[in-house]
Amino acid sequence: MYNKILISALGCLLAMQVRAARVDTLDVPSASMTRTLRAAVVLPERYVKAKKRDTTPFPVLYLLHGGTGSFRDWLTKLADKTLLHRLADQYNLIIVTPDGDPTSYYFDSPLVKTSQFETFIAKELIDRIDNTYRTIRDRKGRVIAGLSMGGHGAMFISSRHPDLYSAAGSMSGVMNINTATWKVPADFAKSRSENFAKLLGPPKEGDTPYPGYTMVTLADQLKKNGLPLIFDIGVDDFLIVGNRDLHRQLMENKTPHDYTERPGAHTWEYWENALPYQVLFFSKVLKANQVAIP
Amino acid sequence: MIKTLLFGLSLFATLSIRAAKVDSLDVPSTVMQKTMRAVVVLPESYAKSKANYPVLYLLHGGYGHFNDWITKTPDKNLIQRLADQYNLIIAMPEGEVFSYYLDSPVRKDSQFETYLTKEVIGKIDNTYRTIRDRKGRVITGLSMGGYGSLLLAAHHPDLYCAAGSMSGALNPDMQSWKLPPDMMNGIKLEFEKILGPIEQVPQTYAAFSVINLADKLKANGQNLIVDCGVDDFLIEPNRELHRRLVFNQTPHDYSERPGGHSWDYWQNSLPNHVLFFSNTLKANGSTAP
Repeated sequence: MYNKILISALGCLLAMQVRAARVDTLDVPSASMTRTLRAAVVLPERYVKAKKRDTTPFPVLYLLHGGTGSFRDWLTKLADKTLLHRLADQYNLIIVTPDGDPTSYYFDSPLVKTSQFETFIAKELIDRIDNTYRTIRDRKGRVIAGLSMGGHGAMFISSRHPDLYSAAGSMSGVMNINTATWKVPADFAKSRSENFAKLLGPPKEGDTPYPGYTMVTLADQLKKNGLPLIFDIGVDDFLIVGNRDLHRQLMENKTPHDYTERPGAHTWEYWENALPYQVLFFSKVLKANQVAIP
Repeated sequence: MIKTLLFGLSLFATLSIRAAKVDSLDVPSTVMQKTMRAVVVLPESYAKSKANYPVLYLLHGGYGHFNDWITKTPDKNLIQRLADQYNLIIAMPEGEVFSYYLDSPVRKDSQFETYLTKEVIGKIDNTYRTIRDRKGRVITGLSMGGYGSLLLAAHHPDLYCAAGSMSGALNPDMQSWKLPPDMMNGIKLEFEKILGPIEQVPQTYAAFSVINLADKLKANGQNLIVDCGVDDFLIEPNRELHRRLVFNQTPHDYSERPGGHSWDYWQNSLPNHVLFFSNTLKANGSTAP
């Protein structure tokens, strides 16, 4: 008993020592939505402890949350509360977790003026981050990933702005926003379909209600852009059909990408496991881009 | 001038980073009455520590040898860096050019399952401070070595807690391998030397197919990671194993990545395997401080 307490106390101490990265919470004004949103920014120890005249710019990973979530999710909902800190330290990477509203799907909605999240993430947030921190102000030093709605957001936004990001990743991503492909109860599918109709207008008949707004309709754009891509999905996830569909399409049109299926479902346990592989992938891209800090 | 300086600095950085120690040692085989070499990479922390270390057994592919991983990987420091980063001993034993790491029913001088699971482990555990338990032992490899690591793990759940395969040559019957006929014939003759002619002993080939071991892998419950390049001639057998493991609900990581049967692919793949194993070892409490 005593041993356990001692060990856990020691563990806490160790965690505090290891957690050398610093976390900022930042207001990010959005002119397009005329409101201010927030983002957490994890700065690696190397950044925090740099001497004043050291102006080494750091690469940035933009990490998006999922549906009904917030900017705090990645820092508070993982069982391992210091995972982001450790990854930032290990790879000398700034990790930014912005707010994407609970159900924005990171679209610029043609109908809802207060939901302009493509503009927010791709322009307003990048400006704010690049003007606040020593970042690499170039696509070469910018990568983007996310979970679920955020996996869709990362792939979707980067597919429309290949000039801004050099790689994209999705964990358990909504690769098809046609809720008929989701293995979920009917009432949940209905509520999400209504949300898409509110954001994007009435759906088209058939299997692709919103062409151009979902990844399974953008395989050729992904091929054309040529960004390194990584996406993964749990074999028990309700979104596996859309992920397999996108993988199949990218195989057919010969778009290089990493695709992984793992044990697990749509859970934080799954994302805690998945994230380090995504960051490993990005670290290779950044190294190849010659912007990684060794 | 500046370039020379930078080059010098980067060389220095490389040298100082490569702190892991590379041993090579003789590993005698009683069962085959011959002695073969192995390379062992010890993490930097090993020398100054008294702790017991987990061991990753890393197998080479067909037509290869024990030193392939440290000589043929384009990044010559990758194995050393991974050993340092994860505080792991990485042992690379000999599997000859076409043993498939199995105990051949027809050739007494090709008994590599026994060699790997008894003689190599015995030698490593008696030479280094290792965790002498399945909890601290993991195994992976490329191509023939991917096959070998899954076969040995399937046959010896008491020895390994996790196993991986990169571009694994999973089925000796070569069904759905995408190779030109002359290469297929050449490899078929090699399989005949260790298993006999497939026309006469189809059941031997079936028994030695990792694809047919899906239920054994399920029963064992080891952590598994399997990947293959989408342009690899072995992609279909890997997909078949994945399909069977999904169907019988065996937890496993399965990835498809760009690339073919190449060292670029394996260099890219290996860090994912080591990350995967580090999670298993951490969960087992088998990490060196």
